[in-house]
Amino acid sequence: MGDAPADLTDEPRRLAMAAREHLRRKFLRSTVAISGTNFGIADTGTIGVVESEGNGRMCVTLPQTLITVMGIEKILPTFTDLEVFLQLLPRSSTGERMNPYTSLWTGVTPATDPRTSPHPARQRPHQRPGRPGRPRRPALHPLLGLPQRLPGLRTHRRPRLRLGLPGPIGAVLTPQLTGMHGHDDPNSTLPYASSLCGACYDVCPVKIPIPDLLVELRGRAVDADRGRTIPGGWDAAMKAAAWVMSNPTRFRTVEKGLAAGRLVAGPDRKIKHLPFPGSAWTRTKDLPAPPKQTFRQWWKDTHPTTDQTGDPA
Amino acid sequence: MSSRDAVLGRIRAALAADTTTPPPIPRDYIRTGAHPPGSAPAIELMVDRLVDYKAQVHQVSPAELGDAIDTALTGQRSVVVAPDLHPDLTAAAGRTGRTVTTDGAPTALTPNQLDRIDAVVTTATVAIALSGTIVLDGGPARAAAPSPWSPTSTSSSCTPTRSSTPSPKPSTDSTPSDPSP
Repeated sequence: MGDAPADLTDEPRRLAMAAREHLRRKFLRSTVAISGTNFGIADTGTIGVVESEGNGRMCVTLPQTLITVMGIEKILPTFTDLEVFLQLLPRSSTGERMNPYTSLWTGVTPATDPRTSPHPARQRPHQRPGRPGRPRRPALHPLLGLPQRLPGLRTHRRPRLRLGLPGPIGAVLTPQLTGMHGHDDPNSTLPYASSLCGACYDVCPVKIPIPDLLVELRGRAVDADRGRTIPGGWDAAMKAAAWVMSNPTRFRTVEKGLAAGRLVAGPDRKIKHLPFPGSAWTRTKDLPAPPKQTFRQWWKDTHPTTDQTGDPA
Repeated sequence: MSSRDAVLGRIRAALAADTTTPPPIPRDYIRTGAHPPGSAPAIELMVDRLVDYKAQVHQVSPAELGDAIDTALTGQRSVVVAPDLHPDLTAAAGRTGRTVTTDGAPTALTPNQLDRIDAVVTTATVAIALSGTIVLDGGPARAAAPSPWSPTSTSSSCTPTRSSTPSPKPSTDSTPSDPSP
Protein backbone atom coordinates (compact mmCIF):
# COMPACT_ATOMS: atom_id res chain seq x y z
CA MET A 1 0.00 0.00 0.00
CA GLY A 2 2.29 2.70 -1.33
CA ASP A 3 -0.27 5.45 -0.82
CA ALA A 4 -0.42 5.00 2.94
CA PRO A 5 -0.13 8.32 4.75
CA ALA A 6 3.34 8.87 6.19
CA ASP A 7 1.92 9.60 9.62
CA LEU A 8 -0.27 6.50 9.75
CA THR A 9 -0.55 4.97 13.20
CA ASP A 10 -2.03 1.72 14.39
CA GLU A 11 -5.17 3.45 15.61
CA PRO A 12 -8.05 1.40 14.17
CA ARG A 13 -9.96 4.39 12.92
CA ARG A 14 -6.99 5.83 11.04
CA LEU A 15 -6.15 2.42 9.61
CA ALA A 16 -9.71 2.08 8.37
CA MET A 17 -9.67 5.54 6.80
CA ALA A 18 -6.36 4.81 5.05
CA ALA A 19 -7.71 1.50 3.78
CA ARG A 20 -10.80 3.23 2.48
CA GLU A 21 -8.82 5.81 0.57
CA HIS A 22 -6.64 3.07 -0.88
CA LEU A 23 -9.59 0.93 -1.90
CA ARG A 24 -11.46 3.91 -3.27
CA ARG A 25 -8.63 4.56 -5.75
CA LYS A 26 -8.85 0.94 -6.81
CA PHE A 27 -12.61 1.12 -7.27
CA LEU A 28 -12.28 4.25 -9.39
CA ARG A 29 -9.76 2.54 -11.68
CA SER A 30 -11.55 -0.79 -12.08
CA THR A 31 -13.20 -1.54 -15.40
CA VAL A 32 -15.05 -4.71 -14.43
CA ALA A 33 -17.25 -5.37 -11.41
CA ILE A 34 -18.38 -8.78 -10.23
CA SER A 35 -21.25 -8.80 -7.81
CA GLY A 36 -23.98 -10.94 -6.40
CA THR A 37 -27.52 -9.70 -6.27
CA ASN A 38 -30.31 -9.69 -3.75
CA PHE A 39 -33.17 -9.95 -6.20
CA GLY A 40 -33.66 -10.87 -9.82
CA ILE A 41 -37.08 -9.93 -11.15
CA ALA A 42 -38.20 -12.21 -13.93
CA ASP A 43 -40.94 -10.23 -15.69
CA THR A 44 -38.91 -7.05 -16.09
CA GLY A 45 -35.42 -8.52 -16.17
CA THR A 46 -34.40 -6.27 -13.31
CA ILE A 47 -31.56 -6.96 -10.92
CA GLY A 48 -31.43 -5.40 -7.49
CA VAL A 49 -28.97 -4.84 -4.69
CA VAL A 50 -29.96 -3.68 -1.24
CA GLU A 51 -27.32 -2.41 1.15
CA SER A 52 -26.71 -0.12 4.06
CA GLU A 53 -24.02 2.25 2.89
CA GLY A 54 -24.10 2.79 -0.86
CA ASN A 55 -20.60 1.44 -1.36
CA GLY A 56 -21.92 -1.56 -3.26
CA ARG A 57 -23.79 0.76 -5.57
CA MET A 58 -20.61 2.68 -6.21
CA CYS A 59 -18.61 -0.45 -6.89
CA VAL A 60 -21.03 -1.97 -9.39
CA THR A 61 -21.91 1.20 -11.30
CA LEU A 62 -18.51 2.78 -11.92
CA PRO A 63 -16.95 0.04 -14.03
CA GLN A 64 -17.99 -0.37 -17.64
CA THR A 65 -18.75 -4.06 -17.31
CA LEU A 66 -20.87 -5.59 -14.57
CA ILE A 67 -20.96 -9.34 -14.07
CA THR A 68 -23.77 -10.44 -11.78
CA VAL A 69 -23.65 -13.87 -10.23
CA MET A 70 -27.17 -14.89 -9.31
CA GLY A 71 -28.63 -18.09 -7.96
CA ILE A 72 -32.13 -19.11 -8.94
CA GLU A 73 -33.23 -18.65 -5.34
CA LYS A 74 -32.94 -14.89 -5.89
CA ILE A 75 -35.58 -14.79 -8.59
CA LEU A 76 -38.94 -13.12 -8.00
CA PRO A 77 -41.66 -13.76 -10.59
CA THR A 78 -42.92 -10.19 -10.93
CA PHE A 79 -41.89 -6.67 -10.09
CA THR A 80 -44.89 -6.50 -7.76
CA ASP A 81 -43.34 -9.20 -5.63
CA LEU A 82 -40.39 -6.95 -4.90
CA GLU A 83 -42.59 -4.77 -2.71
CA VAL A 84 -43.16 -7.71 -0.41
CA PHE A 85 -39.48 -8.22 0.15
CA LEU A 86 -38.63 -4.55 0.42
CA GLN A 87 -41.13 -4.33 3.27
CA LEU A 88 -40.03 -7.58 4.91
CA LEU A 89 -36.29 -7.36 4.65
CA PRO A 90 -35.38 -4.21 6.60
CA ARG A 91 -37.91 -4.83 9.33
CA SER A 92 -36.92 -8.45 9.83
CA SER A 93 -33.20 -7.85 9.69
CA THR A 94 -32.17 -4.47 11.00
CA GLY A 95 -35.48 -3.18 12.29
CA GLU A 96 -35.38 -0.24 9.92
CA ARG A 97 -38.42 1.17 8.18
CA MET A 98 -36.71 0.94 4.79
CA ASN A 99 -33.48 -0.40 3.43
CA PRO A 100 -31.06 2.55 3.20
CA TYR A 101 -29.71 2.05 -0.32
CA THR A 102 -31.73 0.15 -2.90
CA SER A 103 -30.40 -0.08 -6.47
CA LEU A 104 -32.26 -1.65 -9.36
CA TRP A 105 -31.06 -1.88 -12.92
CA THR A 106 -32.71 -3.18 -16.03
CA GLY A 107 -30.30 -3.50 -18.91
CA VAL A 108 -28.34 -0.83 -20.73
CA THR A 109 -29.43 1.31 -23.66
CA PRO A 110 -27.27 3.71 -25.66
CA ALA A 111 -28.78 6.58 -23.67
CA THR A 112 -27.79 5.09 -20.36
CA ASP A 113 -24.59 3.32 -21.25
CA PRO A 114 -22.08 3.95 -18.47
CA ARG A 115 -19.48 4.82 -21.10
CA THR A 116 -21.49 7.67 -22.53
CA SER A 117 -24.09 8.71 -20.01
CA PRO A 118 -23.96 10.48 -16.68
CA HIS A 119 -22.60 8.67 -13.72
CA PRO A 120 -24.22 8.22 -10.39
CA ALA A 121 -23.66 10.61 -7.62
CA ARG A 122 -20.98 9.44 -5.35
CA GLN A 123 -20.11 10.22 -1.84
CA ARG A 124 -16.73 10.26 -0.30
CA PRO A 125 -16.54 7.71 2.48
CA HIS A 126 -16.12 10.31 5.20
CA GLN A 127 -19.09 12.24 3.92
CA ARG A 128 -21.50 9.38 4.05
CA PRO A 129 -24.43 10.25 6.19
CA GLY A 130 -24.11 8.59 9.52
CA ARG A 131 -26.97 6.96 11.23
CA PRO A 132 -27.45 7.05 14.95
CA GLY A 133 -26.05 4.22 16.99
CA ARG A 134 -24.46 2.39 14.11
CA PRO A 135 -20.71 2.27 13.65
CA ARG A 136 -19.51 2.99 10.15
CA ARG A 137 -18.09 0.00 8.49
CA PRO A 138 -15.14 -0.39 6.15
CA ALA A 139 -15.68 0.45 2.52
CA LEU A 140 -15.29 -3.08 1.25
CA HIS A 141 -18.26 -4.81 2.64
CA PRO A 142 -19.50 -8.06 1.19
CA LEU A 143 -22.84 -7.82 -0.52
CA LEU A 144 -24.21 -10.50 1.71
CA GLY A 145 -26.66 -8.30 3.43
CA LEU A 146 -28.96 -10.75 5.05
CA PRO A 147 -26.67 -13.09 6.95
CA GLN A 148 -25.05 -10.32 8.91
CA ARG A 149 -28.32 -8.82 9.94
CA LEU A 150 -30.33 -11.57 11.47
CA PRO A 151 -31.58 -10.43 14.84
CA GLY A 152 -29.91 -13.27 16.69
CA LEU A 153 -26.46 -11.96 16.16
CA ARG A 154 -27.23 -8.67 17.78
CA THR A 155 -27.89 -10.43 21.03
CA HIS A 156 -25.32 -13.20 20.92
CA ARG A 157 -21.58 -13.11 20.87
CA ARG A 158 -20.54 -13.49 17.28
CA PRO A 159 -18.55 -16.65 16.70
CA ARG A 160 -15.35 -16.31 14.73
CA LEU A 161 -16.13 -17.67 11.32
CA ARG A 162 -13.72 -18.09 8.50
CA LEU A 163 -16.22 -16.76 6.01
CA GLY A 164 -17.24 -13.88 8.18
CA LEU A 165 -20.89 -14.89 8.17
CA PRO A 166 -22.02 -14.57 11.75
CA GLY A 167 -25.31 -15.44 13.33
CA PRO A 168 -27.60 -18.39 12.76
CA ILE A 169 -27.29 -18.31 8.98
CA GLY A 170 -23.49 -18.34 9.29
CA ALA A 171 -23.70 -21.39 11.50
CA VAL A 172 -25.49 -23.33 8.76
CA LEU A 173 -23.82 -21.80 5.70
CA THR A 174 -20.20 -21.81 6.77
CA PRO A 175 -19.89 -25.55 7.49
CA GLN A 176 -21.58 -26.31 4.17
CA LEU A 177 -19.45 -23.94 2.15
CA THR A 178 -16.08 -24.73 3.68
CA GLY A 179 -16.71 -28.21 5.06
CA MET A 180 -16.22 -29.52 8.58
CA HIS A 181 -12.76 -30.98 8.75
CA GLY A 182 -12.68 -33.10 11.83
CA HIS A 183 -12.86 -32.64 15.53
CA ASP A 184 -10.48 -29.70 15.82
CA ASP A 185 -11.98 -27.64 13.01
CA PRO A 186 -13.89 -24.69 14.49
CA ASN A 187 -16.44 -25.13 11.71
CA SER A 188 -17.38 -28.48 13.21
CA THR A 189 -18.47 -26.71 16.36
CA LEU A 190 -20.73 -24.18 14.61
CA PRO A 191 -23.81 -26.41 14.41
CA TYR A 192 -23.61 -26.72 18.20
CA ALA A 193 -23.56 -22.97 18.80
CA SER A 194 -27.32 -22.89 19.23
CA SER A 195 -29.82 -23.92 21.84
CA LEU A 196 -32.19 -24.94 18.99
CA CYS A 197 -34.87 -22.82 20.61
CA GLY A 198 -36.20 -21.93 17.18
CA ALA A 199 -36.20 -18.14 17.64
CA CYS A 200 -34.26 -17.68 14.41
CA TYR A 201 -36.93 -19.64 12.55
CA ASP A 202 -39.70 -17.65 14.20
CA VAL A 203 -38.36 -14.33 12.99
CA CYS A 204 -37.28 -15.48 9.54
CA PRO A 205 -39.65 -13.97 6.95
CA VAL A 206 -38.77 -16.63 4.39
CA LYS A 207 -38.85 -19.46 6.93
CA ILE A 208 -35.40 -20.92 6.51
CA PRO A 209 -35.51 -24.03 8.75
CA ILE A 210 -32.27 -23.22 10.54
CA PRO A 211 -32.85 -25.52 13.56
CA ASP A 212 -33.44 -28.49 11.20
CA LEU A 213 -30.32 -27.63 9.25
CA LEU A 214 -28.29 -27.40 12.46
CA VAL A 215 -29.47 -30.81 13.56
CA GLU A 216 -28.59 -32.25 10.16
CA LEU A 217 -25.13 -30.71 10.35
CA ARG A 218 -24.63 -32.03 13.88
CA GLY A 219 -25.41 -35.47 12.55
CA ARG A 220 -22.84 -35.04 9.80
CA ALA A 221 -20.21 -33.85 12.25
CA VAL A 222 -20.81 -36.84 14.50
CA ASP A 223 -20.78 -39.28 11.58
CA ALA A 224 -17.54 -37.84 10.29
CA ASP A 225 -16.02 -38.39 13.70
CA ARG A 226 -17.03 -42.04 14.10
CA GLY A 227 -13.86 -43.43 12.58
CA ARG A 228 -11.63 -42.11 15.31
CA THR A 229 -9.69 -44.88 17.01
CA ILE A 230 -8.91 -42.97 20.21
CA PRO A 231 -12.15 -42.06 21.96
CA GLY A 232 -12.27 -38.49 23.18
CA GLY A 233 -13.84 -37.12 26.33
CA TRP A 234 -17.03 -36.44 24.44
CA ASP A 235 -17.49 -40.10 23.50
CA ALA A 236 -16.73 -41.21 27.05
CA ALA A 237 -19.21 -38.76 28.52
CA MET A 238 -21.93 -39.78 26.06
CA LYS A 239 -21.33 -43.49 26.73
CA ALA A 240 -21.46 -42.92 30.48
CA ALA A 241 -24.66 -40.90 30.15
CA ALA A 242 -26.22 -43.60 27.98
CA TRP A 243 -25.31 -46.26 30.55
CA VAL A 244 -26.88 -44.26 33.36
CA MET A 245 -29.95 -43.07 31.52
CA SER A 246 -30.91 -46.44 30.03
CA ASN A 247 -31.61 -47.98 33.44
CA PRO A 248 -34.11 -46.52 35.95
CA THR A 249 -32.28 -47.78 39.02
CA ARG A 250 -28.98 -46.38 37.89
CA PHE A 251 -30.64 -43.11 36.90
CA ARG A 252 -32.35 -42.76 40.29
CA THR A 253 -29.12 -43.47 42.14
CA VAL A 254 -27.15 -40.93 40.17
CA GLU A 255 -29.94 -38.38 40.52
CA LYS A 256 -29.85 -38.72 44.27
CA GLY A 257 -26.08 -38.53 44.25
CA LEU A 258 -26.22 -35.27 42.38
CA ALA A 259 -27.94 -33.66 45.35
CA ALA A 260 -24.52 -33.74 47.01
CA GLY A 261 -23.62 -30.99 44.55
CA ARG A 262 -25.58 -28.64 46.80
CA LEU A 263 -22.85 -28.99 49.39
CA VAL A 264 -20.17 -27.55 47.10
CA ALA A 265 -22.36 -24.74 45.83
CA GLY A 266 -21.91 -21.30 47.31
CA PRO A 267 -24.63 -19.31 49.05
CA ASP A 268 -25.73 -18.04 45.63
CA ARG A 269 -26.56 -21.65 44.68
CA LYS A 270 -23.87 -21.75 42.03
CA ILE A 271 -20.98 -24.18 41.67
CA LYS A 272 -17.92 -22.24 40.60
CA HIS A 273 -15.10 -24.78 40.78
CA LEU A 274 -15.19 -28.45 39.83
CA PRO A 275 -12.31 -30.90 39.55
CA PHE A 276 -11.35 -32.13 36.08
CA PRO A 277 -13.15 -32.86 33.78
CA GLY A 278 -15.89 -30.65 35.24
CA SER A 279 -13.36 -27.82 35.37
CA ALA A 280 -13.62 -27.52 31.59
CA TRP A 281 -17.09 -26.12 32.24
CA THR A 282 -16.56 -24.17 35.45
CA ARG A 283 -13.46 -22.44 34.09
CA THR A 284 -15.75 -20.22 32.01
CA LYS A 285 -19.22 -20.66 33.44
CA ASP A 286 -20.98 -21.32 36.71
CA LEU A 287 -23.01 -24.47 37.17
CA PRO A 288 -26.34 -24.09 38.93
CA ALA A 289 -26.65 -26.18 42.07
CA PRO A 290 -28.96 -29.21 41.77
CA PRO A 291 -32.46 -28.60 43.12
CA LYS A 292 -33.46 -29.77 46.59
CA GLN A 293 -35.86 -32.29 45.14
CA THR A 294 -35.49 -34.53 42.12
CA PHE A 295 -38.35 -34.57 39.65
CA ARG A 296 -39.37 -38.02 40.85
CA GLN A 297 -39.52 -36.86 44.48
CA TRP A 298 -41.57 -33.85 43.44
CA TRP A 299 -43.97 -36.05 41.48
CA LYS A 300 -44.40 -38.38 44.43
CA ASP A 301 -45.21 -35.46 46.72
CA THR A 302 -47.64 -33.75 44.37
CA HIS A 303 -49.35 -36.82 42.90
CA PRO A 304 -49.79 -39.17 45.87
CA THR A 305 -52.56 -41.18 44.23
CA THR A 306 -50.91 -41.81 40.88
CA ASP A 307 -48.93 -44.85 39.94
CA GLN A 308 -45.64 -44.47 41.72
CA THR A 309 -43.43 -46.93 39.97
CA GLY A 310 -42.36 -44.41 37.38
CA ASP A 311 -40.34 -47.12 35.74
CA PRO A 312 -40.98 -48.20 32.19
CA ALA A 313 -42.15 -51.75 31.89
CA MET B 1 -22.55 -34.41 -19.25
CA SER B 2 -21.17 -31.16 -18.00
CA SER B 3 -21.62 -29.97 -14.45
CA ARG B 4 -23.88 -27.24 -15.79
CA ASP B 5 -26.12 -29.83 -17.44
CA ALA B 6 -26.17 -31.87 -14.25
CA VAL B 7 -27.14 -28.91 -12.08
CA LEU B 8 -29.80 -27.60 -14.45
CA GLY B 9 -31.09 -31.13 -15.05
CA ARG B 10 -31.65 -31.67 -11.35
CA ILE B 11 -33.45 -28.35 -11.03
CA ARG B 12 -35.70 -29.10 -14.01
CA ALA B 13 -36.46 -32.57 -12.69
CA ALA B 14 -37.34 -31.17 -9.28
CA LEU B 15 -39.56 -28.51 -10.82
CA ALA B 16 -41.27 -31.04 -13.08
CA ALA B 17 -41.93 -33.33 -10.13
CA ASP B 18 -43.59 -30.55 -8.17
CA THR B 19 -47.15 -30.40 -9.46
CA THR B 20 -48.62 -28.34 -6.65
CA THR B 21 -50.05 -25.00 -7.66
CA PRO B 22 -48.56 -22.13 -5.71
CA PRO B 23 -51.14 -20.61 -3.38
CA PRO B 24 -52.37 -17.14 -4.23
CA ILE B 25 -50.29 -14.40 -2.65
CA PRO B 26 -52.25 -12.34 -0.13
CA ARG B 27 -51.58 -8.70 -0.94
CA ASP B 28 -52.78 -7.47 2.41
CA TYR B 29 -49.63 -5.59 3.26
CA ILE B 30 -49.25 -1.82 2.99
CA ARG B 31 -49.63 -0.90 -0.69
CA THR B 32 -50.86 2.68 -0.54
CA GLY B 33 -50.21 5.48 1.88
CA ALA B 34 -52.78 6.88 4.22
CA HIS B 35 -52.36 10.40 2.86
CA PRO B 36 -53.02 11.67 -0.68
CA PRO B 37 -49.97 12.62 -2.75
CA GLY B 38 -48.80 16.14 -2.01
CA SER B 39 -51.13 16.57 0.97
CA ALA B 40 -49.92 18.37 4.06
CA PRO B 41 -49.75 15.21 6.22
CA ALA B 42 -47.73 13.43 3.52
CA ILE B 43 -45.24 16.29 3.40
CA GLU B 44 -45.07 16.44 7.17
CA LEU B 45 -44.35 12.70 7.33
CA MET B 46 -41.68 12.97 4.65
CA VAL B 47 -39.91 15.80 6.45
CA ASP B 48 -40.15 13.93 9.74
CA ARG B 49 -38.44 10.91 8.21
CA LEU B 50 -35.73 12.95 6.52
CA VAL B 51 -34.94 14.82 9.72
CA ASP B 52 -34.86 11.49 11.55
CA TYR B 53 -32.17 10.40 9.08
CA LYS B 54 -30.21 13.55 9.89
CA ALA B 55 -30.82 15.20 6.53
CA GLN B 56 -31.15 18.97 6.45
CA VAL B 57 -34.54 19.83 5.04
CA HIS B 58 -35.56 23.26 3.75
CA GLN B 59 -39.12 23.82 2.63
CA VAL B 60 -39.13 26.67 0.16
CA SER B 61 -41.26 28.22 -2.56
CA PRO B 62 -40.18 27.98 -6.21
CA ALA B 63 -38.92 31.57 -6.01
CA GLU B 64 -36.72 30.74 -3.02
CA LEU B 65 -35.27 27.53 -4.46
CA GLY B 66 -32.20 29.11 -6.06
CA ASP B 67 -31.18 30.81 -2.85
CA ALA B 68 -31.78 27.63 -0.89
CA ILE B 69 -29.48 25.68 -3.21
CA ASP B 70 -26.86 28.40 -2.99
CA THR B 71 -26.99 28.30 0.80
CA ALA B 72 -26.88 24.51 0.93
CA LEU B 73 -23.74 24.55 -1.23
CA THR B 74 -21.88 26.95 1.06
CA GLY B 75 -18.29 25.82 1.33
CA GLN B 76 -18.41 23.58 -1.73
CA ARG B 77 -16.21 24.61 -4.62
CA SER B 78 -17.44 22.35 -7.40
CA VAL B 79 -20.83 20.93 -8.36
CA VAL B 80 -21.94 18.36 -10.91
CA VAL B 81 -25.38 18.42 -12.53
CA ALA B 82 -27.28 16.48 -15.20
CA PRO B 83 -27.50 18.10 -18.64
CA ASP B 84 -31.25 18.57 -18.34
CA LEU B 85 -31.35 20.15 -14.92
CA HIS B 86 -33.43 23.33 -14.99
CA PRO B 87 -31.18 26.26 -15.99
CA ASP B 88 -32.22 28.27 -12.94
CA LEU B 89 -31.02 25.52 -10.66
CA THR B 90 -27.79 25.12 -12.59
CA ALA B 91 -27.25 28.87 -12.32
CA ALA B 92 -27.88 28.76 -8.57
CA ALA B 93 -25.36 25.96 -8.23
CA GLY B 94 -22.77 28.13 -9.99
CA ARG B 95 -23.16 31.20 -7.79
CA THR B 96 -20.24 32.66 -5.85
CA GLY B 97 -17.65 31.20 -8.15
CA ARG B 98 -18.48 27.52 -7.85
CA THR B 99 -17.50 25.39 -10.81
CA VAL B 100 -20.46 23.61 -12.34
CA THR B 101 -19.72 20.54 -14.44
CA THR B 102 -22.40 18.99 -16.59
CA ASP B 103 -22.11 15.24 -16.70
CA GLY B 104 -22.83 13.52 -19.98
CA ALA B 105 -22.57 16.65 -22.11
CA PRO B 106 -20.76 16.19 -24.33
CA THR B 107 -19.30 13.06 -22.74
CA ALA B 108 -19.71 11.29 -19.47
CA LEU B 109 -17.25 12.19 -16.78
CA THR B 110 -14.76 9.56 -15.78
CA PRO B 111 -14.87 8.21 -12.25
CA ASN B 112 -11.73 10.16 -11.40
CA GLN B 113 -13.20 13.41 -12.71
CA LEU B 114 -16.33 12.84 -10.69
CA ASP B 115 -14.32 11.99 -7.63
CA ARG B 116 -12.82 15.49 -7.56
CA ILE B 117 -16.21 17.19 -7.46
CA ASP B 118 -17.55 18.27 -4.10
CA ALA B 119 -21.31 18.27 -4.52
CA VAL B 120 -24.21 17.31 -6.72
CA VAL B 121 -27.55 18.98 -7.33
CA THR B 122 -30.29 16.62 -8.38
CA THR B 123 -34.03 16.41 -8.49
CA ALA B 124 -36.00 13.38 -7.40
CA THR B 125 -38.24 11.18 -9.48
CA VAL B 126 -40.48 10.50 -6.56
CA ALA B 127 -40.21 10.53 -2.81
CA ILE B 128 -41.87 8.14 -0.41
CA ALA B 129 -43.03 9.74 2.80
CA LEU B 130 -43.72 6.57 4.76
CA SER B 131 -40.15 5.34 4.52
CA GLY B 132 -38.41 8.68 3.96
CA THR B 133 -37.02 7.42 0.67
CA ILE B 134 -35.86 9.52 -2.26
CA VAL B 135 -36.02 7.79 -5.63
CA LEU B 136 -33.95 8.67 -8.66
CA ASP B 137 -34.39 6.86 -11.92
CA GLY B 138 -32.51 6.78 -15.16
CA GLY B 139 -35.27 7.95 -17.46
CA PRO B 140 -33.97 10.61 -19.87
CA ALA B 141 -36.89 12.90 -19.12
CA ARG B 142 -35.90 13.15 -15.48
CA ALA B 143 -33.97 16.13 -14.44
CA ALA B 144 -32.05 14.01 -12.03
CA ALA B 145 -28.54 15.27 -12.04
CA PRO B 146 -25.77 12.77 -11.99
CA SER B 147 -28.48 10.60 -12.89
CA PRO B 148 -29.15 7.24 -11.78
CA TRP B 149 -26.75 4.65 -11.55
CA SER B 150 -25.90 4.20 -15.11
CA PRO B 151 -28.01 1.46 -16.61
CA THR B 152 -31.40 2.30 -17.89
CA SER B 153 -34.68 2.15 -16.08
CA THR B 154 -32.55 2.08 -13.08
CA SER B 155 -34.17 3.18 -9.94
CA SER B 156 -32.10 3.94 -6.97
CA SER B 157 -33.31 4.93 -3.63
CA CYS B 158 -31.61 6.17 -0.59
CA THR B 159 -32.89 7.42 2.65
CA PRO B 160 -30.70 10.36 3.50
CA THR B 161 -28.80 12.46 1.03
CA ARG B 162 -25.89 14.67 1.81
CA SER B 163 -26.87 17.80 3.54
CA SER B 164 -25.54 19.80 0.62
CA THR B 165 -28.03 18.16 -1.67
CA PRO B 166 -31.39 19.73 -1.23
CA SER B 167 -34.24 17.37 -1.62
CA PRO B 168 -37.05 19.55 -2.98
CA LYS B 169 -38.13 18.98 -6.51
CA PRO B 170 -37.39 21.67 -9.05
CA SER B 171 -39.84 24.37 -9.83
CA THR B 172 -40.30 22.93 -13.28
CA ASP B 173 -42.74 20.22 -12.46
CA SER B 174 -44.08 20.85 -9.02
CA THR B 175 -43.69 23.10 -6.10
CA PRO B 176 -40.37 22.49 -4.44
CA SER B 177 -41.83 21.75 -1.05
CA ASP B 178 -44.12 19.14 -2.47
CA PRO B 179 -42.66 15.69 -2.06
CA SER B 180 -44.91 13.03 -3.42
CA PRO B 181 -46.05 10.50 -0.90
